[in-house]
Amino acid sequence: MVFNSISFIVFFAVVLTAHQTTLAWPLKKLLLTVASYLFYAAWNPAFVLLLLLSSCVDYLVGRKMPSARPRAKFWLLQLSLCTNLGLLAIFKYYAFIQTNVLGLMAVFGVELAPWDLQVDLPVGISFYTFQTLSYTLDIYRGRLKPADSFADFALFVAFFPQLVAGPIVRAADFLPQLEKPKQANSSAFVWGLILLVNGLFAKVVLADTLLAPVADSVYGSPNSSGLLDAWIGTFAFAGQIYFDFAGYSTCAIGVALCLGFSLPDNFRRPYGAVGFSDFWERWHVSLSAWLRDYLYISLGGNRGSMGQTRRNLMMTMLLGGLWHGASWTFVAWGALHGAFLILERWVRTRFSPLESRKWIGASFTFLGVCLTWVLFRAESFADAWILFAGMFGTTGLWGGLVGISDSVLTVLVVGSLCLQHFLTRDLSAEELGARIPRGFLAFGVAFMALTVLMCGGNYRSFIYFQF
Amino acid sequence: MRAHSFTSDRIPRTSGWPLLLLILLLFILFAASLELLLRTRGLSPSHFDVPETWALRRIRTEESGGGGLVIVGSSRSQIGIRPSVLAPALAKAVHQLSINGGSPFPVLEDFVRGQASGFTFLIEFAPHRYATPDDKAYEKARRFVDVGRKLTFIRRYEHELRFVLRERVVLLSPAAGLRSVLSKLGQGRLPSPSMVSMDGEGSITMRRPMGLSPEGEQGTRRYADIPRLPSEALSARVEDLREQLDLLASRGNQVAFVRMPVCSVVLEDENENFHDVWTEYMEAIPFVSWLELDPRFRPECVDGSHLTAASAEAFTNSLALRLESIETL
Repeated sequence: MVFNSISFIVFFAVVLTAHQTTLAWPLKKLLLTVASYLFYAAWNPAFVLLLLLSSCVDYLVGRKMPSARPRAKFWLLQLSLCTNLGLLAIFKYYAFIQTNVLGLMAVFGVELAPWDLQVDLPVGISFYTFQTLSYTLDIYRGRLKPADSFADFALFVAFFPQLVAGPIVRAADFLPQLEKPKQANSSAFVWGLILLVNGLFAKVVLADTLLAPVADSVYGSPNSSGLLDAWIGTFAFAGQIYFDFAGYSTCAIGVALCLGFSLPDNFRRPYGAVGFSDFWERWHVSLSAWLRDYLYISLGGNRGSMGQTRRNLMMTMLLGGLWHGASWTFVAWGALHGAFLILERWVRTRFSPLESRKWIGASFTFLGVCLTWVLFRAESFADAWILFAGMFGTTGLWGGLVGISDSVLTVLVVGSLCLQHFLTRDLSAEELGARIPRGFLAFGVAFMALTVLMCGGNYRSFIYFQF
Repeated sequence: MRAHSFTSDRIPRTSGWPLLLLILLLFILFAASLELLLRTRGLSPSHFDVPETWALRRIRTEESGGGGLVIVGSSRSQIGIRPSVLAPALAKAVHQLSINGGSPFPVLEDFVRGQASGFTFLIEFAPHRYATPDDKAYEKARRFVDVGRKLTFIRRYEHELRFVLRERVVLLSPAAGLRSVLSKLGQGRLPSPSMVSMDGEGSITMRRPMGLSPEGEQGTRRYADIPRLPSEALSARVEDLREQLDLLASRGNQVAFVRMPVCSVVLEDENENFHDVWTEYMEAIPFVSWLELDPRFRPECVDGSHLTAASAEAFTNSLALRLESIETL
């Protein structure tokens, strides 16, 4: 069940109505948990068991940990890590691991028969496993006290607005919200709906209808691309992935707000970033903060020598890349981001050109990010190299993959997006919302809802569902 | 660094309900105006030709319990065989399961694997689908079949709802899609009825015939250059087909193949390059050729392979007469 479906509208209306009743708060929480499990079961009912397994293990580990001795505490942590990372290894990385192991063995002359494990990727597994892991790690580090009840913990893991594609919520942010009855006031409810429509507009209209066909035509036939096709296709993908993912996060935040809950920001106008470190404080914030807190800092962060800091940065970005998908192209995407981050640190230690001319810094950052998107979107390294070659003008000027109208549309949409991000880079979402005149806001939301309706024929999944 | 978005204490101050009311009123006004504009321009409700819509029809066919006629083919059948004409003539339900650009084999295999009984299968016979590898068409049809097999309760329910709405609202039709409207507006025009529209049965109507020059209109697909399967592979394919037909027949189904009408250069291609397919390989398989139906029938095509609306109706009438005596095929 996706946000851009009629079934979701019906589901949400039922949940919202039940949530507005005078039922006792524990009953309402139970209802939200059941609704969240039903929401997840709509993809594949069997995978609900994985969600339940992850929740049970981490709840029990969390309950035992505070009173356990250091050694037992350590082993409890290993149990949580093995369960969650084991689920990821089996359901997400099995084929990738097998292919690489078999390939490696073949290099040494050992031919092994592949063991075929036909499993679908459970939607959202990377998100909820990271969420439950952060809970256990926070308790292990003494930063969080365990959840009082399994019902609360299960709702924290499965809360349907953010279950399948984030934001990755921390227990410290969510569990306190379950202590007192939550119900949206009229203002929160309407803003929640506005955010939902806004997110759907970003996803359905901008990402799926306007930009995806352009990106698909270029990345579907990279051999025919020239310089302009390659850049236009990559700009289109840069816009598509932002609108797709930020659209989902906005929907999630809006849906949660309608129910009276608040979720953390996930995107803070990333294409207005000046530098790559700034970009990662704005793009998929809940993941980058997770990687920073539980991986980068655990590796030593920037507390050691310059060399160690660079190593930690690169390892964090490599694993961040692998989190996105079981393919070497994603690892290379992470590596390129890591390289850019290291380069930026080196540049900043010598001079600070980015601060004096922010728009130049933002432009270079955007172009650099676009280069990394090639690895993210291309089907293979061979395709990526062809597109890189195209972007640097070695395959001619124009391959005819994108028409003039689509090119103009892409430049207009992505150009406006970058400009808006740059001009509002220091504003919070709330400040931005408060500045819009109410009449204009009503007109805009009604228009967005109409265009979403007109694009109802699209059936694209959210890109981040596969991660 | 962890900041919250739109926590209830940081929400812009707004009088919630009046704003919501204004949004709803504006939305209704916009939607109603556009719907009215599209209807006055002559647009009518239409469906999207996507795997989920097909899968829904596939499920409904199975659930109908047999006794109906099932059309399996490609766009030639979607355009050339009208269920609305065939159903009353045969006095039985007609299920259009043709897939635009798809091979009939995966659909047939799907029925062979299933439990369908008591149906009459009318399978499009386009020689290039049988005598060439045609991987793209096979893959497309297999994708449709896979979607049908994996259609969960929720997804089915979702598409049932979309189906109901699309039957009634022009705004939801492909011709009213945002890209289509933007493209028309870019040309300084308003949306007008699209050339192609699909009804709930899965039949496609081509509204404006393009005509066909002797050399072939731009967009006409030629089949002369498609590589042929080696004769052993073709024999094996036909043998597989016969086994599938036997399996279907063993469950009380009837099967007939129909060679769809084509025009001009496409007809020449078929006669010159694929003549042996139906004289040699299709022997002993129940087979109806449009050339033998009605000597007065002269097909008119929009692009060589697809009939005009009038020709489709005439052809379907002739086909209905022939199918009344299907037991003798």
